[in-house]
Amino acid sequence: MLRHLISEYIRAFAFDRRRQIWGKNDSISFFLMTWMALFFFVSVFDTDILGGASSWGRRCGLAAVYLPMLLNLFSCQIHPVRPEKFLYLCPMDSGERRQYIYGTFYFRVFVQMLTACAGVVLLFLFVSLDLLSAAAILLNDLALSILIPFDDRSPDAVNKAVWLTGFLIVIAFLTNGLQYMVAIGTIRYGAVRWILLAVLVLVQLPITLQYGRYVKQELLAALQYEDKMTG
Amino acid sequence: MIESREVSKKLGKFILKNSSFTLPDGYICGLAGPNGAGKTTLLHLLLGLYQPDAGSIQVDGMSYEDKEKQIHDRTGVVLTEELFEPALTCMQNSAYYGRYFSHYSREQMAHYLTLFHLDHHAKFGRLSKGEKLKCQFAFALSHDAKLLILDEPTANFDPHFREQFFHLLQEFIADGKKSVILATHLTEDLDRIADYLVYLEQGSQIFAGDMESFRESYRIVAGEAYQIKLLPKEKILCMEEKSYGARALVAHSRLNRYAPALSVTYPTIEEFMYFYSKRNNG
Repeated sequence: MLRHLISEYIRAFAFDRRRQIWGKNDSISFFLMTWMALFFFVSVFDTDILGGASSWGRRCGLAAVYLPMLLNLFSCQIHPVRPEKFLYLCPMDSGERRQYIYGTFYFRVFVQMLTACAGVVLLFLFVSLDLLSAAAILLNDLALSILIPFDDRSPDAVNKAVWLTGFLIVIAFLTNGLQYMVAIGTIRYGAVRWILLAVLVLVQLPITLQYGRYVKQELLAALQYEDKMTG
Repeated sequence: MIESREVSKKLGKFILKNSSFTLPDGYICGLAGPNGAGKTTLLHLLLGLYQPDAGSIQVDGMSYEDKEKQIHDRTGVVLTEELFEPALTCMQNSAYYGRYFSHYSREQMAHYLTLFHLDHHAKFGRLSKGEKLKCQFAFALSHDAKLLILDEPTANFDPHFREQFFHLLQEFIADGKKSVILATHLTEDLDRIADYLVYLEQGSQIFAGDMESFRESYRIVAGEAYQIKLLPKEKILCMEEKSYGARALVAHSRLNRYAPALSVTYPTIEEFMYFYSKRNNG
């Protein structure tokens, strides 16, 4: 089962497969725009405008924060929740199909969190990072790792999901950027600490939980080929 | 045996109404109808991809609610969509999906790929449309399926392979224990090969039964219009008048009295489809 999950995960990166998935995925343009915005943020955080001089260590630290997030966004696009049509025609009982769909999703989240943890470890090496900031960064990465592509078979749910997704991405990238700036000493930690904590508890957590409910609905809907959500 | 009992399904604005038919083992059933008739919807219901809003579908006495795995294990499928992974080769695809099927045979798959002149190691995504369908057909034959469900495969086959395809279908049902359901617009194929016919139009089932009954139920009558009109009005399903004469699709019964000058022939499925669509479209 594990070997199968790994090969499934890797195969999604193949060019032909990406082309097949992107061809039927309307959310790719949304995510491309998000990437462009993120590169803007990255370049702003790493310039002298904010009073910090760039060094290789700090650039590596910045990459350690943002590359896992970019990988998260890319990976969630090429690993849709709903399996290909032929898998609904293969001999599987409901339990086996549930195991396949949920297993594939959780494995993808696991791999993305592994890269996020690797990023945080690197961050510890290159900049001075405290545990609370590390935990906040990892929570942001977790929120991004559960993102799923928009499925146009359930348009009502998608409309809501678009807003939640956009909000999650923007907040995650902004707060991670601020955590990075705190780590490199550009911002006085004391001033920002409580704001970031408040944003995490009052804004990010409720939105992530709400998005989690949407993902749960999509996973349940994916158990049947016919989407019950559209009726 | 496949049994559909009063199956109805609503999809958006389209409604498939009360489809009922029984296909015994050892026969080929043609599924015909114009575009939008509901052929693909019915196939999706027979494959368990859709659940009927009313009625029931049974395959060898089993229903999808409790025996989905067993039914799918013995069903081979070729659909108009590309079902295989484009990044994998034909053999890799068959190995990937074949592990779900209890009777899958790698050797059989290799045999059919060779027979169909397909490169075993070509990536599925790089094949032509016809080659992709051949690859899917090879897979459908390689796991000892008891039921083959084929949705419009022949339109993309070259003439040589079409002959081979029909020969293989007849070989498939030769033991009397297997069945084929073939949906196609190319009705001359069904005239040639089908034992049963299900004809749909705008979501309604117009005919379901063996080909013999179909041919006995209708006639194409050609000749002078006034002579055709001598037949009972309710029997004339649709008439087409041209300057050189008239033709009509007629519901046949032994009580019909055809004027000697009229030409009376069995309808082909194409003629039936033509006249019935004309009748519905006015």
